[in-house]
Amino acid sequence: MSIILFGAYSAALLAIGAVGFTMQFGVTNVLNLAYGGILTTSIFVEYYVTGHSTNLWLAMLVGAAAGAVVSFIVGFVIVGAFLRRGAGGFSIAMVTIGLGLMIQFTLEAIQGPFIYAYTSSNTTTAISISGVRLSSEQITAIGVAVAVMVVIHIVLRMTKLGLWMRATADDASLTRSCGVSPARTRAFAWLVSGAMCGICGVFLGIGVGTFSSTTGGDFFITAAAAAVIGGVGKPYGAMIGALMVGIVSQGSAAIISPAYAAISAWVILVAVLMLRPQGIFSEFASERELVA
Amino acid sequence: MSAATVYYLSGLAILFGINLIAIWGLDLHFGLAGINSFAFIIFQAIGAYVTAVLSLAAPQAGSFESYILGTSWPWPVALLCGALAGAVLAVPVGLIAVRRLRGDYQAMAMLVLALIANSLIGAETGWFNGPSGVEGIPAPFGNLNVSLYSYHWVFLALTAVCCLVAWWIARGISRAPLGRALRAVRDSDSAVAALGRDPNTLRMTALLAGGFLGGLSGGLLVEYVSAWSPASWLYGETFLFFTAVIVGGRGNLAGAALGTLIVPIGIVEVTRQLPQFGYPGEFDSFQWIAIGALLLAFLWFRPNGLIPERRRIFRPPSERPGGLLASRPRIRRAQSP
Amino acid sequence: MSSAAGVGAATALLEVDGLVRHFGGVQAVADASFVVKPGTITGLIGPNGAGKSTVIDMISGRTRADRGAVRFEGRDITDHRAHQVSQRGIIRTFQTANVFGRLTVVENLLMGATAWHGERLSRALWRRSCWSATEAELVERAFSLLQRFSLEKLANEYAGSLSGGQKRLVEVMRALMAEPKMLLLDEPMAGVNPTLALSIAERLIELRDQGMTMLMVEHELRWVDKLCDPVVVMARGRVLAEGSMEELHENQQVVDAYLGG
Repeated sequence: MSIILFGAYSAALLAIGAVGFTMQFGVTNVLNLAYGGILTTSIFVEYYVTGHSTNLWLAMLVGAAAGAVVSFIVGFVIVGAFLRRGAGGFSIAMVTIGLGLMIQFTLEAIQGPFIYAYTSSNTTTAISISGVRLSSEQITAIGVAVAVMVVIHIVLRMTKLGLWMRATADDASLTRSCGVSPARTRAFAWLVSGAMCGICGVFLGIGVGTFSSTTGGDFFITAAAAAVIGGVGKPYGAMIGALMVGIVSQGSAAIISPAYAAISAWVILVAVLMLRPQGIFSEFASERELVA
Repeated sequence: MSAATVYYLSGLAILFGINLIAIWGLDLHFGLAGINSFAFIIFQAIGAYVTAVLSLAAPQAGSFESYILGTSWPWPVALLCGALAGAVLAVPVGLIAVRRLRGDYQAMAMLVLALIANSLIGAETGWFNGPSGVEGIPAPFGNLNVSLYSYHWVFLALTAVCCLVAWWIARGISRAPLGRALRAVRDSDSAVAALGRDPNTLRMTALLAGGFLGGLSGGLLVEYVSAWSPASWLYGETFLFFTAVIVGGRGNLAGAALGTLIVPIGIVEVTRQLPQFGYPGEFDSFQWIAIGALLLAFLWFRPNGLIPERRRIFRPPSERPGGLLASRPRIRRAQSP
Repeated sequence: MSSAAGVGAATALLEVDGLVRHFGGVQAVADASFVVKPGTITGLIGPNGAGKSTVIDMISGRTRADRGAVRFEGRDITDHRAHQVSQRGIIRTFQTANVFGRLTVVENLLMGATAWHGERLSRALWRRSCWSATEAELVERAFSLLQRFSLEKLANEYAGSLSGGQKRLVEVMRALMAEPKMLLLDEPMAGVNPTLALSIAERLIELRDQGMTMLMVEHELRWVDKLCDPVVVMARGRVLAEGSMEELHENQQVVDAYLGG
């Protein structure tokens, strides 16, 4: 039971992060390996701006804003500039890895490699299900995740911008010839994914209670695993992927040892990339996702 | 020059040699064969671990160390085995790297592979003593009765010999038809296959050779510093090597050497001599920021590096004064591709 | 409609028999059967989506056939992978000129040659004398080819910097270095300017007269007229007809499906 509940909680976190990551990939076709750095930045910014308090809604707002801004700078401005110069897939990956490392170490330079802790105040109100205790933040996280999924669904299916994003994800040149501004769509994708990254980061920080300059990076790989399983670029796939990864990792943590939570997720990621890079839910490989 | 300065400089030279072997190995993977070998550090790591556990004696009962093997073999054998371990590791890594996956996917897959390896070895303490790592590796020629300062020269000679071996391997491959075939695989798998060669076999060959060099570098390194733990080989180290290759110039030995001088030696080791500021370790953060910035700058301004790959010029038979040797290509540093 | 396994099958160099290929829900090739006789330039024509490139890909091993067989010199090569097919002597070119951009023209040609023993790791490291002699020979052959195709000025240029037509020439020369038994040409005139295309056509005719066998996919009918006999027509994944261009012009089905007018 605890596996299921904690699985659900970790799936919720992963879902927010994974959907943000995958949606941005779908629209921009850029594998943003600096996503982890953006996660960590949002936690740090939120921590300092809200003054260590744990007012969740304010924290989410600040985190989302910070994430959106950094994501925009990293993705639209810097990576965009390299793309316009014609840089290829691997160079872009190097750029994002480099930016991720720079962000991580800038945070570390400013604050030191210490681990920060939230002055906890909220583990009092908790809910107990079959003897497993979930704190109110964790319940809220699950709730927020569901809400975010619903909002994303609405945006994608029912707004014009969502339509543009889906169209650009499918076929960018065709979309451009229909008069949709690809730059605006991409900018929006970076902002939205950054915001989701920020929200995810906030819950990550508050939920675990401690964080350091490497927190985002480690979590990101796990979120990426969820995204890749579902098929990079497919938000609904990422949600399912998050559920699968959440349960598998909690299961491994319980059965083997806590360290294996992350390791099992990472192994899944590598396995999927090797065996079925287009994700479990695609029918067949599409050009952009497979061929070098 | 004071004895201390000489000691310091000879130490730098040793580290230069060790890094050079590894970076030549990475250049075989990335520069020559076009494999995004973003897990390269694990080749160095396995070389270090294997050399270590073969040189050390078995862990004493009741000690709080635990690792496999522990056979107390003589250091040359252990070193060779470390290098071979790097080559052997190329086989499973090849399962991931040899497929023609999209460049950034492949980078991510390899990066995660390095993470998995690092976490796994940290978690499974029975293998290589987990997060504490192994230590006390006996130094080569350790029983020579020389002073600390003089020992450096001994080790430097050993490093030089290993560098020569690495040079012989890397240069040999690059100049042979094999080198040309690898460079062709970089550009087009389908065309290579249409000409009778299996691109996967070619890439695996490059992985084996590069892995061997990585393992050799690791074995040498562990014999120099006498200790090795997961913290010594985080995935960022690969990034360091890649920056060296990209800054110095990929696809050629001289470029890789220049990159080694600038990045691992220049930025990391030499700047250690500058006055430290802030909390302990803050300086290291700035090093990493500088390395990231350097990489981005080169990817933007000079993606081919300081010494770009050379064009191999061939002369038609009529123009040559005759003889077999005359058909060897003249290497001219003309414009890069 | 002539059947593939009838007259002349015994002397065919390449036999394609009942090839089928699906992609997801789409059937690209429903049933392709024809032969290529030695010493001919056999054309493979048809409207877009007829499945021609897929057939070429299946013959050359780039794609697996779902059903059917490919036989070369009597041997079954259906399940051969691309490098195995080319080792048998079938060398192909690609629709978009597939040169090694970061190698020079001469190096591209050297890659064509099949003296692979220099490419083993052991040979790279020792026994250098073993391959350097062959290498010298190959360089001579490369230069004589370059002269025949009038490209010796570009010998040491990076292939990536050449024009489309020149790249196509390099591809063809490179294929010739492999001393193929049969050439598989996928739209060799695509993207080539008319003068250069004429020059390529003349070389191909020369090669045929010297006994080379070729299977050529081509869209521009004037080249098919000039070069190919016989011609295989495909439409909607099947072979519609086979014969010389005159015979095909008289075939109503073919005219309706493709030739028009």
